[in-house]
Amino acid sequence: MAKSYHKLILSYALCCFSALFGIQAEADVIEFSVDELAAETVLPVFEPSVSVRDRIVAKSGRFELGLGGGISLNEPFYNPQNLVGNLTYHMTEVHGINLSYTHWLDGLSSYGTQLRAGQGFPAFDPSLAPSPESLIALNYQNTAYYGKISLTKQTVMNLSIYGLAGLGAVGLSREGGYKIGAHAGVGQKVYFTPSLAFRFDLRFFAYRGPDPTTLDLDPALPPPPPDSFGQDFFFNTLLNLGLVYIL
Amino acid sequence: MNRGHLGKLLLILMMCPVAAFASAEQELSQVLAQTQRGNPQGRQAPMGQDVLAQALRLAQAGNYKDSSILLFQLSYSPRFRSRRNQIRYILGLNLFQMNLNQVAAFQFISVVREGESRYLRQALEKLSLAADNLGDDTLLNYALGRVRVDDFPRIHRDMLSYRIGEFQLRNNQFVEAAQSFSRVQRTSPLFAKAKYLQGVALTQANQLPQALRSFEDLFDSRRAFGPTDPSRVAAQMGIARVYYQQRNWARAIDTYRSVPRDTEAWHDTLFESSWAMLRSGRFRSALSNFHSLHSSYYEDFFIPESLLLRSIVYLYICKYEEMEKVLNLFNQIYRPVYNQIDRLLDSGADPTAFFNDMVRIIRDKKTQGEEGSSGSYQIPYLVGRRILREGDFQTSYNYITRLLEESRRVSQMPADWREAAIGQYAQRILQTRIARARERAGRQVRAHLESIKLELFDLFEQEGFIRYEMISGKRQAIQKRIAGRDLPQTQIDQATRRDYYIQNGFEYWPFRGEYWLDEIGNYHYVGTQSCD
Repeated sequence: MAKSYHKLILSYALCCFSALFGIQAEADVIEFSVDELAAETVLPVFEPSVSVRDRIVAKSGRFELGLGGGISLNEPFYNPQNLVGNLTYHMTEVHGINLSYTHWLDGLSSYGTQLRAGQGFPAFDPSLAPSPESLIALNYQNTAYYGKISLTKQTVMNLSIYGLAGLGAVGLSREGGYKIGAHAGVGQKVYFTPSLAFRFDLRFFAYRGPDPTTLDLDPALPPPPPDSFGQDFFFNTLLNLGLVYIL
Repeated sequence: MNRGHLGKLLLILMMCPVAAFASAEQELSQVLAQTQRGNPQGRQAPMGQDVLAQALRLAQAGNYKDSSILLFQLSYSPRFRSRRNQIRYILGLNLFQMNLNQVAAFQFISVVREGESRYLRQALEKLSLAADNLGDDTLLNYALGRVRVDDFPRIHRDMLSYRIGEFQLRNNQFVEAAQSFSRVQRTSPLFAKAKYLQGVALTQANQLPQALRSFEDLFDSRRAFGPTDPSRVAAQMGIARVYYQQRNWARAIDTYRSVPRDTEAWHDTLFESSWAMLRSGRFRSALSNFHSLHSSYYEDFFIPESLLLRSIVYLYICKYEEMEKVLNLFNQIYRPVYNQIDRLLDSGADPTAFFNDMVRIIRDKKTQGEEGSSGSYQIPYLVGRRILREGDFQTSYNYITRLLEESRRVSQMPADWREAAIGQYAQRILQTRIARARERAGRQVRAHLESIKLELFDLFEQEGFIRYEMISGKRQAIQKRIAGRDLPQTQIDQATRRDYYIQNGFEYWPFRGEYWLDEIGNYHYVGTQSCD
């Protein structure tokens, strides 16, 4: 009933158009009826209930390349600054595989420098011990949240929050070789464009390796062999910033 | 038990008025108890009559399985030809108790076909109940065409009135249907459905104030069931549609808007309220609705008319570019659909193939949700979804589902019953009925495909007219531009500061191309018209 009625009206509306054309007026001031504005907090029913369609940032089946830098938050002796590179393949919008490479810059931290100079303590040169100089990790990445944020009336940026976990190999300086370690982290990306995003992440890696404090590292003596150090468990925290580009 | 005494028993059985009991079990017990009371000495009966007495005893003890085996044998025995109706009726009651509605219905039909007998009325009543359980239109029509309402047990009269109303509604007897529905008691579980259909019947009969009262009555009766109660929502839809028919656009729009968003019916309100908005000249509101309705959330919905309606709204506000995009989208989506339906209908496919395709769509929709559309079906997915909502197909599908359940129950019966004549008979009946029901459902699908093809053909014609108006409008717009009388292209919200929205307690998010579930229904068109 309603259908055929509508069909008639469709024709009617079309026929009336010619007559009405030119009579349209006013309406430069927008008046949204309050009745028409959102009042319900419930969601429409769709099966399955997908929170977003036609994503601006579509990652599924695409590679993502990232570059950035950061610091180790709990590194006492060595230069905490590092450079990071990431390559991620997104199997779906949620699941991905991430390969990350972190390279620490040479040198000592300010505390390490003071220790080497013997300020207040007997001189202790951490640079004579094997220290982490790179970390390569293969991770599973899960994008748990995709949303958007509006900072100004016309500016909306998409964002995502992800977690990652995997295994990695920590490369040690002074021929210390590689140590297997666990790697995990959480992060957030804020997209400037559908392909380009600012990446911020907090990562943790743990490994068992040589402990510089198990030997007296006198700056005047040659470096001891790597296997002469006692072994200990290290838990490092990395804070990184960077840019990612979806290829 | 001797022959004379069993004869007496059977006479009692035949004469005893089978009262209107709430269940066949009670009725069967009473019939059998009276039979036994008529045989106090327990005298011996000849061989065949012994078997009958045994069958009745088994039934009384609730052993319907063994009783039905014996009764079925007796129903074909020439010795009991004169009592065949009686035996078949009791056999039907046994099967009804075993939840084998279709097989039971066949026994009751046999009694009815025999014509006038003492068991005709009871058989018709039980046939109606079995048909109601099965939801089979054909059986129901058969039973209801013969039954007298006054003879029907009071306890089942609501069902009878409801089914009669449905039958009348299908046959366009709208006033009579409304009367039948109005007889359904307020306390009946069928009341809500009956009240809704009463409103529909009255609307069809163009008795709009009465229809409105009917829907409002339903709405009031469902207040306690919460805002998303399907019957309550159906009443709201009914009220809105009546207001629309009455050309009371504002109240129609308000009522559509009162339908809760988290209900299936809400999707329909988007399109239907757009019509009311168009007719009341609220173009902006209509376009706001279309933004939601034409989002990818609705890509598997069959709503071709909404695209044409959108293009007409654009025509009214002289947005020819947008209009062309919408018309192109209409062709892009529905031309292949039309061609696919055309090819399918021309292929002369077997009706069962249509049904099987629908079953695949239903199955995939259940398991994969909207992603079910990825499958390749003979019937276009969005058309299949539309057919799923058609009442006749739903009835047929539900009937087939119940037959399959009954067939499963038969195959789960003990081997002695399955291998007995009654078991084989039941399996044969069910297989035949399932095959025929599938064929019938397939024919219904075909009929709907033909109707959709015609509908699309008609809409393509409309599209041609609209396109003509678009070209004509474009020409006039160019003339105006040359004359310097065209309007600037602006967005209505350009001059409005963000504070405006925040101060009013709302948030503003500009649309950038992606659709969010929580935004569906909340989009607002902020463009301006391009002509005076």
